[in-house]
Amino acid sequence: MEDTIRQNIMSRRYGRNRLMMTLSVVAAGLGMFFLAVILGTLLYHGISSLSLDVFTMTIPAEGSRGGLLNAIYGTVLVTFFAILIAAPIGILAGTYLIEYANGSKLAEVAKFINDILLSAPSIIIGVFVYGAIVVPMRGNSAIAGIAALALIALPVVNRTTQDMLLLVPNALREATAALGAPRWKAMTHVIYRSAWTGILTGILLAVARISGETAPLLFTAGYSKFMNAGFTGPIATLPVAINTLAADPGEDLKRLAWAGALIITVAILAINILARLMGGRRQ
Amino acid sequence: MNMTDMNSQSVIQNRGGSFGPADLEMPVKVEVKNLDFTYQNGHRVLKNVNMKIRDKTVTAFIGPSGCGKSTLLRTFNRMYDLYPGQKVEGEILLDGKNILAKDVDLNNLRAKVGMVFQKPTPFPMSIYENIAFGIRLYEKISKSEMNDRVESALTEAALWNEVKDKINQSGLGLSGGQQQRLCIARAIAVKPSVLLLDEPASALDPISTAKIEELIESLRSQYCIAIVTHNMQQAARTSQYTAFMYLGELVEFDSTDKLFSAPSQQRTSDYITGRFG
Repeated sequence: MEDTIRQNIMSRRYGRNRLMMTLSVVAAGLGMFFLAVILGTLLYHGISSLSLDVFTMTIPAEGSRGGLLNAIYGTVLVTFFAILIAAPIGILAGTYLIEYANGSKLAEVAKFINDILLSAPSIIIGVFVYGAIVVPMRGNSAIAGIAALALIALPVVNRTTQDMLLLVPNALREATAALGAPRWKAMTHVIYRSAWTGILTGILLAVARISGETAPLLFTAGYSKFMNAGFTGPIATLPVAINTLAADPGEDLKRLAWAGALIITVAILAINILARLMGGRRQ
Repeated sequence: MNMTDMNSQSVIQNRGGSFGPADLEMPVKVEVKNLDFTYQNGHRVLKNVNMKIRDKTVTAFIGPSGCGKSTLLRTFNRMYDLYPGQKVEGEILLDGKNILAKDVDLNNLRAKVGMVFQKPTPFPMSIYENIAFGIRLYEKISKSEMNDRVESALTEAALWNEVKDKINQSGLGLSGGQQQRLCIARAIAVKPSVLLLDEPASALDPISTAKIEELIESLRSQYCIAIVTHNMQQAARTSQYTAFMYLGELVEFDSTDKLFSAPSQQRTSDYITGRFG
């Protein structure tokens, strides 16, 4: 009697298990399918559009030879300087919020605002920088692009620093204090040392995030067909170049946009894999 | 293997009983006077604690969880200062000077009063650097002097022979017991006079525990040692004095022999015979 009841319960559980398992597999498969379609299309058009010219020549006029050199250079430049500004400020801010001001009203408010900034639409940041830098400077510039990307990266670095510092066991802080080490020495010698791979992973993810941003660069860094070494003039970046070239009626320029899309995707994928590897080493 | 067996055997005997009357007359190192301790939430965890802890002896603190024994230990190096809102009243005299006074330099105090925690806390650096880190906080010494100091601290903590060939490898790669001895070595490398051990063996296996207990015995001649333990046998084995605490009060404080064989308080007797706790 009892055995049959159990049998019934178990067979119902197996049935439910099979149903949920099927739904999970279908959901995962659906996601994978669209990802594969997107990447497949990108690879198909991208690879056929790649050539040495893409890396050695600047953006051409329709009908003539050219490449994406100035846009690649622009993306590297703008991303590099944006991270150079955002990383130290973000790390110091995260350190202050967790190690020095944790629990205080100011810290709670600052953390909350940082999280809002983290999810703010990036075009809002672009509009802000447009008003703050582009209008006074009377034109698009690399500086404006750098400022916009730095503002997007800052909350990312800040938040990951906070998360990584929270992962450092409190026992380590107590043990350092118990030796009589001053607070700053505990930070630089012990706490950062156990959190640095995580913090570096956060910086890499911020790089991946901002190097693919388009909206905030459209009216800050602007667009240019020429190699521009200065900071004060407009500068092309890969995402903006893709945006501009893809909308062009010229077939050659469209192909160039495909090549740019492939390059930026592969680069971001590489950065993500690197970040993943580093994060993995930590555990 | 044979050595280890013999060692663990010897620890099982009651070391507390082997000290002579002379040990009991060591000078007072730490004196606690009318100590009260209150958490942020107003919960009073120590109530009017008074006791004298003698130098070059091991004093054990026993009692059920939440009785305040760890809190008491953490007032001796003012660990509570890390957490604003925790309030302490009364006096703790270390060599006659009140360490709870406002003008006390905390880093100097913690150089004199070393601490080892329940869970091993090696720093994320090499075994060598784990020891050298603390020494560098207080002394500027040459590389060769540093090598000597690191070796002697590790030797004193009975770890040197196990790690001398991998001194530059990460301290995190050691076993739990080795990590805990590394933490003890790190604490004694800065030459404290008081050593606080907060359940130093509760996360370790029996053989590692035996090694730690042996180590405590060998360190006794040089330090004033205070150990918090949940294990009454461990208190009996390692200490000369035992303090029994209950609900924030120091119920009984006496020589370990007396406290375990003829306690004067009913609550002590109930606890050590296993009637509660």
